[in-house]
Amino acid sequence: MGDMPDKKINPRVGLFVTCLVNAMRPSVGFAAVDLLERAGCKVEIPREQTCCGLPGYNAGDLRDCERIARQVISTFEPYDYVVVPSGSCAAMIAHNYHEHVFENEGVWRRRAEALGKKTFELTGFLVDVLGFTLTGIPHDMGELKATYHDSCSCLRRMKVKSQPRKLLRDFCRIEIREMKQTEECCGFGGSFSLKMPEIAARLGDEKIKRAVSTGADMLIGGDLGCLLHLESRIKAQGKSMKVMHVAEVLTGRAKVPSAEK
Amino acid sequence: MEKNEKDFLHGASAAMADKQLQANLGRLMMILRTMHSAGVGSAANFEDLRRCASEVKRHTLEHLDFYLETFEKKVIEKGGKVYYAETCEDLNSIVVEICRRRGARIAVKGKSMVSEETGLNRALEKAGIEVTETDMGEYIVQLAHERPSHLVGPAIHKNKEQIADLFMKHHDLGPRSLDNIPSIVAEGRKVLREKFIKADVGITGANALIAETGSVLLVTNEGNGDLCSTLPKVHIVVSGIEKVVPRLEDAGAILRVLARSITGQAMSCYTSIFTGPREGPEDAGPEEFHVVLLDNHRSEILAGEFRDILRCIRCSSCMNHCPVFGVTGGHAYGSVYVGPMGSVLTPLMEGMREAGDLPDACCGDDRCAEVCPMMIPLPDLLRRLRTRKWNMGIGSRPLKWGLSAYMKTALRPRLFHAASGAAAVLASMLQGGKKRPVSSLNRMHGIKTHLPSPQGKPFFSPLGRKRREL
Amino acid sequence: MYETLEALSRESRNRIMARLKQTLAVVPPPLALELPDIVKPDPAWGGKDDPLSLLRVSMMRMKGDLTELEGADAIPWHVSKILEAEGAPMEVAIGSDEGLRSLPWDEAGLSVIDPSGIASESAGVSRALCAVAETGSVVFCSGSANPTTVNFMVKYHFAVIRREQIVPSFEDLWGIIRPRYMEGDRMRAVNIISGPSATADVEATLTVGAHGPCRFELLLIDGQF
Repeated sequence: MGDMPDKKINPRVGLFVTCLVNAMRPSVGFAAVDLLERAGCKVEIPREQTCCGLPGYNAGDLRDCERIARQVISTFEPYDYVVVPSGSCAAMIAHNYHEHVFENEGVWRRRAEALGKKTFELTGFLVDVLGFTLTGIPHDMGELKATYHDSCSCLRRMKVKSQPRKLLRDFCRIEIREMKQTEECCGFGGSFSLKMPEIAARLGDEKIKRAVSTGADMLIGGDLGCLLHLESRIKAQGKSMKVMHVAEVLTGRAKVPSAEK
Repeated sequence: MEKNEKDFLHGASAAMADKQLQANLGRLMMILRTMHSAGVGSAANFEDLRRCASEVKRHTLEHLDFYLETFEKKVIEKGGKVYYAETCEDLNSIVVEICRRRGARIAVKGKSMVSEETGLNRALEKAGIEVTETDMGEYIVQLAHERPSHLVGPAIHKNKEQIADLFMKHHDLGPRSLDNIPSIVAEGRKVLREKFIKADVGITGANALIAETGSVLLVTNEGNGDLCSTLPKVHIVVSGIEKVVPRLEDAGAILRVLARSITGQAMSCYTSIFTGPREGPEDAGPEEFHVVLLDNHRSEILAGEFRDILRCIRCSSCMNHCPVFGVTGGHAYGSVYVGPMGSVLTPLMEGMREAGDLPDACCGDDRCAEVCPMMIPLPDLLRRLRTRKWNMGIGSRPLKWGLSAYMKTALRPRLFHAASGAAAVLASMLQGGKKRPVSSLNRMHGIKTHLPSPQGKPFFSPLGRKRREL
Repeated sequence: MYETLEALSRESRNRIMARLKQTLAVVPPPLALELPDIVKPDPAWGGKDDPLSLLRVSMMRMKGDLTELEGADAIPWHVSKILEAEGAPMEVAIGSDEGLRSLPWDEAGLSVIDPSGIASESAGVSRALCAVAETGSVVFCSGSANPTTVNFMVKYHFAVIRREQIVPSFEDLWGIIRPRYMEGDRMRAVNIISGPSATADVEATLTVGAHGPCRFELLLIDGQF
């Protein structure tokens, strides 16, 4: 992770909602706000945000991506931290902007690098930067059988793996039942799943098989892209496993499946 | 859809439907990953070894002309001959001509990706020269008239029954039983031993070309490379120009990561350094020693933003850890070089229009970069190829238009939020108010997907909403 | 069309070199090349400071054998015992190496044959240049004394070195052979052998004895030889 910025008291946090959360699961955004406020942050959600540019970046539309990146940098650089409920979008801003998008530009690269240093994925931010802990367990879900999917971006780019598990344990008394080969890709890959849906589906199916083998009733993860892809594969296989974002679980927005009966 | 896209997807589809291949491939991937892991674990400072090997190659490529000239001079000094081939056809012509001058009729070959690249075997056969592959896996696919399906294990897609059948059909050895692997390998050894002894020419690749001594480094586990370079009277080495290294130490740096990455061992069984022809008739070895250096776009690649791919030592670590390759196998790529490194090299060698679909075969998990012993930034190179492809206007038009429209809308937040709001309303109308996936979006490329439906109004709903609603 | 392959090669060379020099022209010519520092591996199972035990562990991992013998005269007996147990023909192929040929093979019931007479079940004995502990490798130099054919054509291969000929790492090996290259000693082939021949090409199952020897043993001699 490099140098950690100084931990500030009541930091001003800009929430980067992400386009998927905005369109498909706003509850993740609200949950993120809840968590950050609970941890003592002053959360602001600038309306001048849409997407981090990752879809175009990966598909080769570097020009539009650059323009979007400039927008993101200008909007978010005033904040103490930028927090993102997604590993892939966080990695885009924290790493790809200055390492690749602006690799040839002096001024924008420096601005991108500065922003990148203070941009974090949600659970990584709460644990590594804020050292967020609670007294007592706000949402006891000890009887929930859950497994966890780490996105490739969280694992390899943002170095997030133990953090969400710690939070789930501390907040909800959930012990994750780990999948075999848990670090395997789910096959989403952004526009990859549009270009090569059969392969993406096959990889997703294999992940679901391993998830189901743990005996879990719920699949939790930190990246909505992966989760929606896996959710569609669960439906395709006719399984009933629930899929939730870690922020939703941590803020009591997830119900233990047996409790619903 | 463009022709080339159909090829990879088509091949991938066929591979995924092939239960036997899936079972073999799954097993192989597990074995290779375990071996790689063991190799990495065998040296406490493996990361440093990686950095060292990458640095050696990076330095060499920066001075490739100097080192090539040094290598050439030394080879000639030690009694060998050096030829340059700009194109694949050039290389084939040169090798055929060398054979013709010796009146060669029978050739044995060690595993050489360069020879696959140029189609050397076909050229030799057309010239009336019988070629036998001597690497067990290459020999098996040669008998089966198939392309190798994997860099290190060319016949890994076949099970032992299929191989036994091939041997029974092609070896005239009378009634016998080939029902276990040792007996199959023993028969391969016996049959190929005869070929080694009868051969006029031995053709091998090279793992490295050592400039300071004019030597060729060849690594095998079977020993077939050594037999090819010792028994026949003529030894021809075919190699890409990027294989040069400055000194013996530098070859050592590469050796230190090579075997560990492939088989998990500190060293392969046979690592040999060949320098020139034999000194006299009492010595074992070839009378003639030839090195043919192939360009085939390598000098162009060196000049551009994809230079890093020239560090590749053909270890196959990238494809062994690639989720996409693990499901499609090598044949789907329809090219000599497969997996992540193949998806970079093939479009650069054969053209973006012919092989532009390969860089799309990437799910973005970055494992290839993690495991590459030469620290090649494969995911980034693949992305750059996709960018080049986008700028060339190649690729699925609907996808491009859709993505482009999305990106341009994202540049205007108010428009974007209004559009998201409208899309959500539309979606709920199409669902009839129920949480059912929008069926018309459910068929992509003929595959039924089960798209999840939006939760409701978007986060940035232009109509505003109370924050605690959800 | 080119008259000769030499003409074709020359033309190709000109074009390739022109492209390379155009690309690399911006980099100053390597007068005093700053070559990268080479890193040695740090074996996970230790033994970095004890070459013999590192050699032993490394060889074992590659399915090679290592035996210590008190003197060179013990070699024929040792080889004979093994060949008998394997049911192999009682003969050994040796090059013109006088030291090896003059050992008491007869007394051990073994006949010495020329490398040209190697058959599929033959055994061979060759003197090695050194052994590299780093990887459990034994290094041979070609020549009529110990021709490479013995290293690859036999089924049972025995390599002989003195204890002092164990070196810790590859750099030591380069230090031994580089001067020989530079002084004009051709050494057509340097074989670094780390175990018996193996292949995993059939169903990814490791099988010993692909093309080279099925059995590889290093005999470490104490004292002079």
